[in-house]
Amino acid sequence: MKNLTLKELMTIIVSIGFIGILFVLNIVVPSPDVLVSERRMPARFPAINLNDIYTGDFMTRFEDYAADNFVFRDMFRATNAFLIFEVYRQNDKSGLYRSNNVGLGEFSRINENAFRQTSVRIHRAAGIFDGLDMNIYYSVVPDKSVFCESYRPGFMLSVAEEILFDVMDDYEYIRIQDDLSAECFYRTDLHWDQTMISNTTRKLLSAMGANTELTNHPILTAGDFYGVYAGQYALPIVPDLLKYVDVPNLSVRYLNERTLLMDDGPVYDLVRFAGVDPYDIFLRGPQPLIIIENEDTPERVLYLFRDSFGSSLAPLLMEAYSKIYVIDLRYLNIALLEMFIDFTPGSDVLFIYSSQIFNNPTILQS
Amino acid sequence: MVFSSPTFLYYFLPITVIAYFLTPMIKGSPRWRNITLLVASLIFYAWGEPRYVFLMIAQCIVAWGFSLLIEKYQENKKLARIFMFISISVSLAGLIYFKYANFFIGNVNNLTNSNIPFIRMIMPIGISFYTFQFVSYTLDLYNRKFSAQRNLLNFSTYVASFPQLIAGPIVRYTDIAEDLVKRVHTWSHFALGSRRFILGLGKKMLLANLFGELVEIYKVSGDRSVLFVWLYVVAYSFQIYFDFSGYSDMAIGLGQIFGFKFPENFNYPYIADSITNFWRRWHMTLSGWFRDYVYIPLGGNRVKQARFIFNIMIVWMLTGFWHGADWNFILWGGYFGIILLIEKFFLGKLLDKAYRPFRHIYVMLIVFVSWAFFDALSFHAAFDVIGRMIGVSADSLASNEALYYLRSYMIPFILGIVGCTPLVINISKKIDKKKTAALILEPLVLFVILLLSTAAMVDGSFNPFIYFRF
Repeated sequence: MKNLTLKELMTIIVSIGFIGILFVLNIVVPSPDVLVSERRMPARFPAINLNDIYTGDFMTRFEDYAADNFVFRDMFRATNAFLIFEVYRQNDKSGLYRSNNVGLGEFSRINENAFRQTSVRIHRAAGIFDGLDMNIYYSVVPDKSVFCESYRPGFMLSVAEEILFDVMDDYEYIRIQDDLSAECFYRTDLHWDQTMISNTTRKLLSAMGANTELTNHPILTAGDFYGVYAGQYALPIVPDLLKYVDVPNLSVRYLNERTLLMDDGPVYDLVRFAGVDPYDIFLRGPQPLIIIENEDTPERVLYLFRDSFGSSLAPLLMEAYSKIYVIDLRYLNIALLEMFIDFTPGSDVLFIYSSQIFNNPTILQS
Repeated sequence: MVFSSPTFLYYFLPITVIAYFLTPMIKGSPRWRNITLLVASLIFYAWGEPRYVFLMIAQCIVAWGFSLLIEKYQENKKLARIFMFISISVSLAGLIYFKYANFFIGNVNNLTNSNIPFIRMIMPIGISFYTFQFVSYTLDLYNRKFSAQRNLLNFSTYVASFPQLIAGPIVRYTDIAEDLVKRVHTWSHFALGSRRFILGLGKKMLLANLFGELVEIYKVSGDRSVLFVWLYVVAYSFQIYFDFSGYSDMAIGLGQIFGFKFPENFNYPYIADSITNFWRRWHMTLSGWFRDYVYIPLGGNRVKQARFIFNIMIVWMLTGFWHGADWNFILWGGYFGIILLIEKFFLGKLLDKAYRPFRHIYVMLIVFVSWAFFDALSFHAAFDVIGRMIGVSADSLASNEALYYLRSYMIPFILGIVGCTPLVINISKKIDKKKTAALILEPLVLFVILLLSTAAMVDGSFNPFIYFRF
């Protein structure tokens, strides 16, 4: 050390100190049970066996483990977000953008091939109603990036509609983009706010020839809501408020995937508010089949094929229907549907999916 | 394993450094430390290529064994030449099989309308680099530039030491022959090596990956405006420079930490004022290798003009072919060969008299076009990009998407431009003169780079090194 300059000594302290401390901490600090901000479990330390080492699987899993369980992971992610947004002044971080009017969002660029494949799958699924004289409608929930005050690369309704009209030309399309605005969506999440989509609901009901007079039901609050983008963003952000419309007199039954029977349940399952995705309070989130009934409304049946946007939409549609079958083709194969439902001829059928679903053709089981 | 991963930086490196420095030097000899370094290097290589580590070990043994035979029979020229030829053939055979076999099969299929099946395999990482080390070692030994390394472990440490194993610089035996048997470890070297490593890490994590994202965005976007294609080629130019020179910095820095002095690989190539000058600054160890082991043996420039032109074109097309087994790489090399010849015969003198900024613009335009060839998946794609750069078949001059990314990447582009010049290092030298400021500022900057690089590493998984595929 005798010929070492003070600057060199400082350099050594910085490099050995920084790397050394994190090396030790990464070994001694226990792994988290869940990565809360990312809504997922961290990768676990891989089992050591010769075959996995020879094939390289062990190494791949270890790399995942090392990244997921890195100490101060959230702090480092926030530091990187700060660098991208505040130092580099970039408009987005790997597609995650922030905008004054829509808040946080992620590009949902239309993959035309994927979009077409999903359209074909939906069209094929609609074939199950052939000969039943159903009124079949479809719609697409646009990504909220279309409402950004300044340009963001992403969803383009005109491109989507061109594909939809080509594939689904024998069914009626309902355009809802004009009835939505930036305010209809949560600032930290991709979903729409149920209390802000009455215009969209009216538009859908009107297009399906149903009653469009909506009652002003009480609006209740579940609590502060950090949407899916809040975790990705990593920097501090003001939460949204998760609200819901208290539609009375609804009875809801959920398909029990173990017993294959329909079990009673709530419209809004507030227990799920504390779960990984608070938006799951709406009809318990991902569910293959739900039946909602309202004895106060004239008899009219709707088969609603939907994703999570449909979970919050369905209770509002009950103003005009006595019974809605809420079907999620992500979790229920269309071929199995007749096991659970006796279709009522002459009813309405609505396929409504978000652009994210359209971009993932294999996600629908049809 | 890549240098820019948590596994390397926060597991492998600290364990290796501790193990290395705990290994005793006996009578000033780093023999045991070489073994520690070799074991670490084999683990490092096996981490990414568990199956191919045995191939590399086998190639080491073969090259080393033949080197002993070459030396033993050096008085018998004919026999020594045969051993040299066999050794080089064995080394090149691995490279040809893993890297070029499918290229040749594809071309034979196309030419003869046959259907020879392609070989399903993954190319061993770094094979292009370590094969060139085998070849240079064998040729230099044959030419009696040094004595053979009699210790297999030392020889393997030369070839396989992890800092330079998978993406260079291409280290020649003469560069580190002395270090292998006697080297000095000082805290000063450790400090310099750490500094160099951290700067390289910063180039990779804070600049190259960022530009890499823009390159990927361009590729998935359907937007083909003139502006976007320019953003793409400029971003790719930055990406490949910061990626590769960053890796070289990290390799050289790690070498210093372990007591080796690896050759420099980059010298601000984007400030070159001619393409001739550019290639004296870009991937210097590769161009030096081709100069000494291909160009000069072919006669270099001490031949008739036609032969000189032939030599240049062969060398540059081979340089291109080394980068990738595809025609676009050969074209890329040939393109530089032609430009170099034009500079040699016509343009060089004109350039010398030209306004300096014009010379830089000329170099960058040539380089941008070259990267369009380099990154293209086919001839058609390359010419498509080049055409769009001048507006041919472009959708528009500037789309909304292109303008969006221009705004988004404004600061990274400025940082990229500054980072390509010696400006930062010159400022650093000036600060060095003010002792107190340098004492605080440099460690602080290194700390910030480490912090931000780690943050980028933890936050993202987008960090492949471009040169790994060569």
